[in-house]
Amino acid sequence: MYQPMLFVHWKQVRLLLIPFVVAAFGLPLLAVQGLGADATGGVSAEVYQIVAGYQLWLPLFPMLALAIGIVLALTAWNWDHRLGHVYALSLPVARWEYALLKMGAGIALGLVPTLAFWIGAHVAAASVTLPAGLNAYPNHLALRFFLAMLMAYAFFFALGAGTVKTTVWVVTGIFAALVASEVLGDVLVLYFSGLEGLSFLELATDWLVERGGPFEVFTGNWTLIDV
Amino acid sequence: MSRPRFVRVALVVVALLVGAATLGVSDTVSQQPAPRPTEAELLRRIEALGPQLEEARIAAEAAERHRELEAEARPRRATEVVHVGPMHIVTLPEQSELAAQLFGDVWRNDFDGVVGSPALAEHVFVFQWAWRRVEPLRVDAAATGSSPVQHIHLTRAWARTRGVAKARIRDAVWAVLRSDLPEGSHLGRWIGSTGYPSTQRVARLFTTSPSDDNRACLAGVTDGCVAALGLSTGEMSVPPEAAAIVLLEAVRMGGSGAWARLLEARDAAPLDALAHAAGVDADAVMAGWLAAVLAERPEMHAGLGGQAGRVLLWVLALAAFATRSTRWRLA
Repeated sequence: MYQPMLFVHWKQVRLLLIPFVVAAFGLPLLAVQGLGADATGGVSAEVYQIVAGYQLWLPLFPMLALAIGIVLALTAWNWDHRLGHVYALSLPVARWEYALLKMGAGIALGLVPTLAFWIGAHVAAASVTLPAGLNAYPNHLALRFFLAMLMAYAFFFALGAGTVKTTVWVVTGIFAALVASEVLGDVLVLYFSGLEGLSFLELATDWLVERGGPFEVFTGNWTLIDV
Repeated sequence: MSRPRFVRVALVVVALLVGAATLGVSDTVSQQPAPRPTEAELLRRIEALGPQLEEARIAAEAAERHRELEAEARPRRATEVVHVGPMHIVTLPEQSELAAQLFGDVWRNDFDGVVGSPALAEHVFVFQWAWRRVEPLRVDAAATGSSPVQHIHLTRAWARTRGVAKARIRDAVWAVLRSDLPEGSHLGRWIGSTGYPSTQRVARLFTTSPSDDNRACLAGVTDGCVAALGLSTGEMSVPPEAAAIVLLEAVRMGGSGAWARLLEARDAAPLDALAHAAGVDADAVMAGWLAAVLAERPEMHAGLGGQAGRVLLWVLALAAFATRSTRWRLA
């Protein structure tokens, strides 16, 4: 049952995956562009500082992982929604089993751009001569890329599994709660001095992207070359 | 195409061409540059603005005086004095507990060991964290005496969290401490006018710098660290805040009385002053500094282990949500 699922999803997404695979392979190379070895065998001082300080390409890594996750998740449910779930209902499997098989197929397809990213990161790391003190982390970065893509995929897959109405309610509810808590916080602080300096929006953000929150993997260190 | 229709089309085309040509001509005319004024003309115009400028300056001064008088005339709000370590903090009664907490945290985490600072004992910190933009807290001379005042006036719009508030307090305390080391002294010149140092930033820049001195220092060679900090050549190959980190580290190592010893030796060579304050030799000071900086080196790997496990748990939870969808029933 898994193979047909994988095949159907592959047919849905293969054309869309092509630009992502190219981007995943190329981004690490762009990140080290111009960091070739100089005459003394190491990277020049200026380039060193660029690596340390700016790293302009790095925010694109998590964004690419997010985009791939979203595309895989939406294409996973696309044909179900379009055909009114007739195909799924005709299969001799339970709903939960069907959803898990579908999810597994998407994760397997996510390995394709991850593999391209991993190869690109290794090629990029091999193309520069790093002096003592700096190291390349292609494996760690590729794993982080996969985890971020997996997280985005799972989140949007869960949303896509429900109705459009449910999805709209969930997303609206999250935004409304954030805005309301922030406004409410400003009012509450007038009456409870203990709340001075507490920002609910910041707490929520803190919980979502740090301290083990679901989007923690998107933050943190995405550098290919670091100390 | 019939003849009348052809004529109509031709007329429209001609009209468009004539219109475009007219626009082009008018654009060309309007784009002709005005004659450039001479230098003497420009000078005359500038001089003509003098009286207006003077009027505006007088009006601004009058407005400022008016604001000051208004503020003076307003009744002063009641204040309380809070003591944290050697610091005197004047604040509103309803914020005294908050001030004690924030200053206490900053004191314990960042300046523990800086005992005996004349500047810190002399200064008065006026602290206010307003919910909205208000006039800065004005304090009676009775509360501050002749002490120099360091204002920490925060509004929630710019300082929303306790973390931001503590950072501002930290900067203010560091600014006062630095005044113990005037720029005329060797140590003061070396420290410069940098803000409270971020050890993580220094660690990253230090370890990724191509300087030979930095590389030698990283390899544990004391002379490399001395050179990197500009203590031998005067040229620093590390961020300027690194000097402040060495100083605070030396004071931490020296424990009780270290700040006083540092001030005793502030006109000596910086390395000697640091060793004197720390009560150890220069090698140990450098080693202590290097250890402190490297301890703050940012996590360089991609957060494997715990983070990967947490992601998988979240993915499982989301998969469970996906399997519980009501889509089929609704469809």
